[in-house]
Amino acid sequence: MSPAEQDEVAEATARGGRFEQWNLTFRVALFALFFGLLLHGLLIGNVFENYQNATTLWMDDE
Amino acid sequence: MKVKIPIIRRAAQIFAFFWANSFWNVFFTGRLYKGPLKGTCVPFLNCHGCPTATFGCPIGTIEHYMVIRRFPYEIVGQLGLLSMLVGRMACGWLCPFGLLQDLLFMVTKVEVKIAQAWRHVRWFVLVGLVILLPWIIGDDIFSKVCPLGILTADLPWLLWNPLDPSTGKPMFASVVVWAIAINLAILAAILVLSAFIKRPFCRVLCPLGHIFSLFNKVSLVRLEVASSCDQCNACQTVCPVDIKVYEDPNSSECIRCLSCTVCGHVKVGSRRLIPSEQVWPLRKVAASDAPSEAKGAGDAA
Repeated sequence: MSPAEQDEVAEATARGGRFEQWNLTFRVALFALFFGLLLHGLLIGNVFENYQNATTLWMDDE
Repeated sequence: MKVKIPIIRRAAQIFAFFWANSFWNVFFTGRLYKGPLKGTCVPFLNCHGCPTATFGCPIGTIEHYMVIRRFPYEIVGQLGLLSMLVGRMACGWLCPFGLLQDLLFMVTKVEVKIAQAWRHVRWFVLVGLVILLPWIIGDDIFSKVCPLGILTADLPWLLWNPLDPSTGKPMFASVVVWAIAINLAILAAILVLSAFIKRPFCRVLCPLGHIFSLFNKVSLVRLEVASSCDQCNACQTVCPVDIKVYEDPNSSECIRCLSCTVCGHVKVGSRRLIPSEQVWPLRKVAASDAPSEAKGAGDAA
């Protein structure tokens, strides 16, 4: 590998490192957000509404 | 003995279908299941109006919340967490409508390719038909034309039309003929297209697949392509959604079926917490290092 290619690899490695770091932060934040939404939904009884929905949506015949 | 991925995947798809539709008591009572399991959703399209359905449909549920103008916290959290872990894997491993499209395509083996740009239609379906229109007009729009709903709920109920235990009369005394005709036309069109195009519904229309696809690039499970890939397009040949995996291993189109791992150059990986020079630079170097003979052979193939 020529020196120019080695430089290119080193630069790509650094760029990849920065991307991974940003990506990790972004993923942790998203994970926390969705976990929070799920927990909030469970706590306020969102599931029960869901159950109401899923059983009544198609029950127009009743 | 190594069990092949396609066999496991087919078994998983069949299991998922029966798991989500296991309320056989309906044949004795003529009534949909109304227990607590309906309060949760399966992570794939499965109409909760199907006579044997035991779980809710995530898209039907989101639509319902739009109709009543409330935020579906639980289902968004559930789908988001799953997507963060495995991306669109549920489309490839669990969705029964995906299985049906796969099987139809296998029957004809005549392939018509469509431009990847068609995937943008899913934005219209998700934002327009599932979120905005139900919110604005107060009625579930997508559920009324969902081909899976037509196939697994409308048709079975109409053909069966059981007697109502309380009145003793047929449950569906009359139907809106034009609505049924439109629904059947939509279903027929998608089934016919599925025979010639790889998973047309998943690629162009599915709103749930679109939600999952938004997370493919950040999901924990990912695909990696070795730098020695000679771009022979073997991955595209076996891919149920017709993508060139080497171009973008974590494309939003990828349903993570792992069929492409039959090629030794594609493997399943997971996100690295520490940047590794084994991942990032190699893909850049690969383009210049790839032998021209191999590329030529790949193009010919």
